Amino acid sequence: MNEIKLLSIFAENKLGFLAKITQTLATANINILWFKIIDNSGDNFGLLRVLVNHRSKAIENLKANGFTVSSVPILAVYIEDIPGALAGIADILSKENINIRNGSGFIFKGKTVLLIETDDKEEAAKILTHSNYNLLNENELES
Amino acid sequence: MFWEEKIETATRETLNELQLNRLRETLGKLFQKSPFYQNKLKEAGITPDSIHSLDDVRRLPFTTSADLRAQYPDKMNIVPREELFRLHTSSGTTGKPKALFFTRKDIEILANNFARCLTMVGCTKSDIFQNMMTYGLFTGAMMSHYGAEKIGMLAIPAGPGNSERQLMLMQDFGTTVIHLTPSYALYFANFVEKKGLDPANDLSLKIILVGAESYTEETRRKIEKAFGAKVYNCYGLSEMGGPGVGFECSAQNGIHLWEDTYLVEVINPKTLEPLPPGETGELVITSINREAMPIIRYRTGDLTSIIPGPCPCGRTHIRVTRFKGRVDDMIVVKGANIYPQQIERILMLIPGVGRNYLITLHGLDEMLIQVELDAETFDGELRKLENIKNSITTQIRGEVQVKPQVELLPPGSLPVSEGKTKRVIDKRNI
Repeated sequence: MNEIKLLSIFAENKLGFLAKITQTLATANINILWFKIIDNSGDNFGLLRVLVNHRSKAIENLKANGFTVSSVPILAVYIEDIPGALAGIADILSKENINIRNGSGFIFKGKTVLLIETDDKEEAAKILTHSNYNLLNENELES
Repeated sequence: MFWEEKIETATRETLNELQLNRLRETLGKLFQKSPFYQNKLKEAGITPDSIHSLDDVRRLPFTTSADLRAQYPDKMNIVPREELFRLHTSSGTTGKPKALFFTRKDIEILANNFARCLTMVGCTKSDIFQNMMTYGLFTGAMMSHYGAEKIGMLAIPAGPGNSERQLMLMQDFGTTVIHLTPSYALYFANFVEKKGLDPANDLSLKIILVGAESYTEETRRKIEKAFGAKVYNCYGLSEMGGPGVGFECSAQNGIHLWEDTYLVEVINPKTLEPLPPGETGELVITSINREAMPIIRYRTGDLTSIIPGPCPCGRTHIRVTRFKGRVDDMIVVKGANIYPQQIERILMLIPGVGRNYLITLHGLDEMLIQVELDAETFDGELRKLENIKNSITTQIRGEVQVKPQVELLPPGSLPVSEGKTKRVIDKRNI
């Protein structure tokens, strides 16, 4: 199964935290392809989810700089940049009873990519592949 | 293994007889030579022949930390200047410290007691002893150093801090035994791991002697796991000559106190009445084999209880439980009496919780608990972090009846001192 992994970084809700993390990645010459702050309102902490081009190098550098980091798998699907593209995916998955819990999009090398979190990731990947969708894999990120 | 099997396993009758004789001798000397105790004993209606049995120790007056400070610099000393061999002081964080004098024989006895402690946990002359306690006015490192030399270990007086150099010494000289504080042990394990080494496999440590701060059984297990070595509790206080007043044996169940040197009681800190074995109270110690400055019924401020029954190690000297903190460690929040150790015990049992924490009392009467996460078990999921936070909140509330505010922090973000770590900060405006 083609899946990619996001970095999930423990984030203190503190001024300058994002600046410190992104600076660490920049210094290591790592490119951020996508990111999202998961804010846990009311708590002093949250998570920062980041998609980078060189994941293991990023982890190594983040750990060396004292960050608490782990990887979480996610599906990344190429879609066309046309009206109805997202509707197409949502329709296919809902017909198979797979719920999309979270989603986001970004442009990768001029192509539109949809990041989705679903209940049954493996099943979702299988269905999408059968329906002629291409899933992004980790090797493509690094190339 | 025994250093002095005969005295370490002496019968109760033998020990009691020795204690009674030494207590009477001690009182005799004090009546003769100590104006401080002459007054104190007279006020309590004690005469040189008031002591007929060990139970009569209850009639003697207590000596407090304040007494020792008031007698600064040298009014506790009862021997001529030329007999004095060493001066240590207690940590004097406020005002004058306590000045502690020792004769040559006093030092000899303390070193010998520490040699018993080391032998008890399996140290031999083949071991390499890296002493990571503070050398200097503090008794912690010096007395243990003399104990190690006594049995002929290779002693490395490393002192605390400079973790880089500590690690180098351990790697280059194959250190097998270390002596340090629990908070530094946790910090150091983390430091070694950050270097990409496994403290359990890449070092040669077999025995870790941990003292100078109270800590929980769960913390002990964490240190043991990190280093793949046995951790033994070391108890001491400068007023009684420093480390090695008591020590855990290989059974790791209670601390033996050397009864040929100390007379041990546990009292209720409020009523000052002696407590039976099994009941928790304040440890009170009388030094009965000391030349320069014998101290009668010293209120240590340390909370423990006497363990009844014989110890499987064969030693007959009294055992007390792991120290539950200090009488003055107790904090009162929203009317509840809380010992920081209760909180530590819970934290160390919750998976995902790291090694360091800080309790801050603030606002009107709020308790904030900041806890470092364990980097190893962090899986990047928010739900897990929520679960950790909720477990801490509900379990601590269940234990101490006060709902804490809880903050999770990245590992390494709380301050760690290489000496005694401060676990409670009180910023309340009340």
